[in-house]
Amino acid sequence: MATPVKVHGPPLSTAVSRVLACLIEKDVPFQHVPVNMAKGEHKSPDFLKIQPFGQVPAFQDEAISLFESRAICRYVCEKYAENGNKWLYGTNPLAKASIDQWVEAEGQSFNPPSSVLVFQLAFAPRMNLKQDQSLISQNEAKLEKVLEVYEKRLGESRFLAGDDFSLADLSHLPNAHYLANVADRGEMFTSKKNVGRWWGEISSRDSWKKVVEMQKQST
Amino acid sequence: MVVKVYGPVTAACPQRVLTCLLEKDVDFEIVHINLDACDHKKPDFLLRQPFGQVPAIEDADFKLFESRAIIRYYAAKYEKRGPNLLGNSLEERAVVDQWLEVEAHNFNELVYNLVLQLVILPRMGKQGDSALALSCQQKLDKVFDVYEQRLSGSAYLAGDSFTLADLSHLPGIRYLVEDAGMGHLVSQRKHVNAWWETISNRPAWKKLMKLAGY
Repeated sequence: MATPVKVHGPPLSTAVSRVLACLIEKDVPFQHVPVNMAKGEHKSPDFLKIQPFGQVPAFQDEAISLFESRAICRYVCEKYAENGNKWLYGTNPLAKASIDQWVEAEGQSFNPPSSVLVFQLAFAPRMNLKQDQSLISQNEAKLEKVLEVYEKRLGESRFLAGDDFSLADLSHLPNAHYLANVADRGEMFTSKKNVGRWWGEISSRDSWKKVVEMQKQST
Repeated sequence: MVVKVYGPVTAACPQRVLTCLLEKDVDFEIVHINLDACDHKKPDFLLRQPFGQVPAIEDADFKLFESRAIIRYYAAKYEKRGPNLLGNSLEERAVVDQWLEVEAHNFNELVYNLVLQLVILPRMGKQGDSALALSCQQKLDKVFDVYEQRLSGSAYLAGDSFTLADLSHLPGIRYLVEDAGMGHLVSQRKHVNAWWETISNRPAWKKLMKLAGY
């Protein structure tokens, strides 16, 4: 069954997997289009037409061509509001605002240090690149501070933005997965009572399990 | 009831929020936060913004932080008032969101680090890292190349109208041009330069510049 929805990029990419998780949560069928980054396909003229910064993912459906994983997620949630998880992006402006606040917190506070750690600890070894120990320590310390904030927040509510699993939690899955399962940093989450509980819940969602399976299949 | 905006009027992220409120003619009160005195790291403020950053807002019972979440909220709440900062259709809104995300992830960190090394640290009597500054500048050059290409096809980043995507860039570009001596990144690019001239001449931005004492 052909679907016009296409996601370009390797499932192993954290940003690509963010979009895949959202589409699966929303029960939206899609085609996955591989992009061979080792061969520089993401910098090819054809790819730059759909993502001018030469990054993954890129997204297309019958109406639009879009990039930036968090923008794609919001679009999918708005367009397919009645599909799958209806609460993923909230059902009223106040819920949306809270979700946006924590998606931004993910993007501005969690993502920078966790991305460095994911690269240094999970990807650099595979690429035969030397790890930068000082960069690792600095970013572990930064991430630790962020997780302390999360520990307090998750003592007040079940999920980051409120009582329902939302885009805010989903947005954390890609980097946290690598940290916990490849980079041997799971203790950063599990040593904290509330963060540990939250991580256990969000990472065992069916949608995320399917993404992890897609990642395994792609290697 | 006015919207209380917590943060100094001279900091980039509060400016992002204040510009949006000015565009939408929403009454606000600036509650000054003294960053030099580390007011933003004190227990009272951490209750408002647990990461110890500015801005935070308070609107009657409603509280929010993260400037880009705040502007999305008010642009939607007052959609029918003043300029439409969001776009009309679902697709237009998605493109606005896309370029707002570009600002947040491809642009902001480079500008922040560049300004930190070239302006903020020296002001504090500390040595900036010139190698890091150069690296940021080179990456920013590449980002502006993409903007130049984009803006050769449309007057604003998301299309034919000024939106949150353009607004979000105002504070950072002002820092680059006025404080960091990086104006050439803008002025040497025909379409980026025309875009900057247009968006920085909007009445709302000019009002904010007055409020900030520039």
